Amino acid sequence: MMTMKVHKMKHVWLALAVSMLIVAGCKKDDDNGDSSTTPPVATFEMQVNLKVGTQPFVRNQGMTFSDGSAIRVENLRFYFSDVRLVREDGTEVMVNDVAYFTAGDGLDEEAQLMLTGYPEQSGNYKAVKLGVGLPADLNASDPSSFDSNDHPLHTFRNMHWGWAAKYKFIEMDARMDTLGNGTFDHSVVYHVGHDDFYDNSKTIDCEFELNTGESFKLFTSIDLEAIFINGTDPIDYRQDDLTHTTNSGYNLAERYYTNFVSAIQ
Amino acid sequence: MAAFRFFSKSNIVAGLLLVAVVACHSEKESAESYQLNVPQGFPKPPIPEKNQLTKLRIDLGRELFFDPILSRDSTVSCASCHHPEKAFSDIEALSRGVDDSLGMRNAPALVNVVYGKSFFRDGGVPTLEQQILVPFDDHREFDLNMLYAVERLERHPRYSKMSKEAYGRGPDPFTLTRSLAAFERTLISGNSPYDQFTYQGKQDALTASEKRGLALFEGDKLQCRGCHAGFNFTNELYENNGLKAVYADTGRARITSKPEDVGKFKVPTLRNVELTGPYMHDGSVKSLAAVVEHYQSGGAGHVNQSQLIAGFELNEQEKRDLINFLKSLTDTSFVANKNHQHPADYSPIFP
Repeated sequence: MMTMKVHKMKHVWLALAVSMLIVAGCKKDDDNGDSSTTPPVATFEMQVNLKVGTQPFVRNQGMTFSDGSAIRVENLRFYFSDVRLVREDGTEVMVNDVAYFTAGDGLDEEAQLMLTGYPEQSGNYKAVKLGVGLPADLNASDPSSFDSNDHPLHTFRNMHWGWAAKYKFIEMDARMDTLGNGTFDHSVVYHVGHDDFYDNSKTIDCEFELNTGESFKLFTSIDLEAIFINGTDPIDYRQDDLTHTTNSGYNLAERYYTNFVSAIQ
Repeated sequence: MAAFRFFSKSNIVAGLLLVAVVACHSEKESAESYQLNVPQGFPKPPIPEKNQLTKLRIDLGRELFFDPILSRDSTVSCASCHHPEKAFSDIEALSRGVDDSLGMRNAPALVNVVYGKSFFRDGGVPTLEQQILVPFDDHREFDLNMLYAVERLERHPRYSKMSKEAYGRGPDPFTLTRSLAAFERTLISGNSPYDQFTYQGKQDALTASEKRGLALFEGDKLQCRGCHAGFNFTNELYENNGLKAVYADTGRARITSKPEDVGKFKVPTLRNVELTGPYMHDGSVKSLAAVVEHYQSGGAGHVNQSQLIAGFELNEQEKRDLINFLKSLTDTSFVANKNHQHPADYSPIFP
């Protein structure tokens, strides 16, 4: 009886093996899945906390700026790309080519957005560098070409401008209480992205050691108040309240992008 | 014992072979390539490596093209604005989408798009596959999130089956865009009287008036060929043809954000131009005679106006000849091609 079981097991293993060969033989070689299956030597995580001044960001909840006006953000989404760790000798180690962040898809609690990467070299690092938005090659991607629905650039992310065949780098839809009376009656829309904007030199200084089998988490934040109130070129949302980066909205989009990058701390 | 015999070595091998045949069947069938009927004098059209043409793919795209299932309220299909009998253009100056929403620009004719290097009047989209995405995004066209479009097709037994047969996978953004692009690549027009005269050696295919119009069209006096170049009557570039002194629609500049591109639009093919009116990016010019009169006038003088738009003199006979030549670009076999029309045996289902 035991012999028969073993014999049957052999058949089952044979069936499984041949089935695997069949599947592999018929599978197209255009799979564009990510490379996260590569065994990591170390784990790098970056947590991005959104805030408004000293208050934590909460989607769909009014938050007051230091000048007394208030904002209620209904949607905020963006890309980071070309995320690299900077070694003490200045050389850079890539940890993530593109990450999609959303604070707009049902995330009503305090927004904490995560990026994970697996640097292939151990060592001592002094900074993290990244780009906001997408480099030109990724920005030219066809969103319908990605097999995985979870890919950051997939059609279902709704971050692609079909008419321009490019991606939005940052998408923010909000309402403002410009009079400070508790009524969020002023719509603001900032849909921002352009190859000419892309800057991958944003540097966050942080010294840490990361070796095989270890993990390190970097805490960063984006302060929306720095875009509208405290920055070097603050945007007066009462007047400059709409851009899709086209035509007359190009300059406003570029200012928003610059301010957003500066707001990363 | 019977169960054990079922697992005998020969049965297992036979079963595995059956599985292999079934598993590979759809890919083998979809891999049977479809040969486009390329007209004489036309170059070999470029076909993307990852969307090779097969009949199954073209059939799927054809059915989707005519099916309003892809619009938010299931009232508008691709064919609502791209009518086969109008060389896949629209009779309206600006097309209407869901909720009777007025579009932004005149719908271009889908003629010989297989040769296109960019798409839409401003050329903002580099491939036919990506062009398919645009009406879904536009609230004046389909206004349907691609996620919901795919869900509808997944629930639709016919499309689910056709998608798996054509691409070896169920409906998704890839199969939706690829199949529609595959169908549009078959919309080749190259059998007009002009083609018969020029490429097929039929000297009597054009009338004397049409031949005089051809000479005018190709001559230095009018310089039409400066933009409407080559076998497809377009240089695939962007020009400001002097239609407006001030452009509410900035055209190519919407994509590039460059002032020097304001008022520039992609040069359209003139094939079947008799059928594709009204004309220009906004459909503001109603007839071929009015088009000729516009170019005759020398344009409105926008700062970006093409230097080729300098005005010219034509007598009435020359004007008739030129228009007759333009009408000789009508390919009746193209607009009557049943393979380009609504599948007769198909009735849309609204899940």
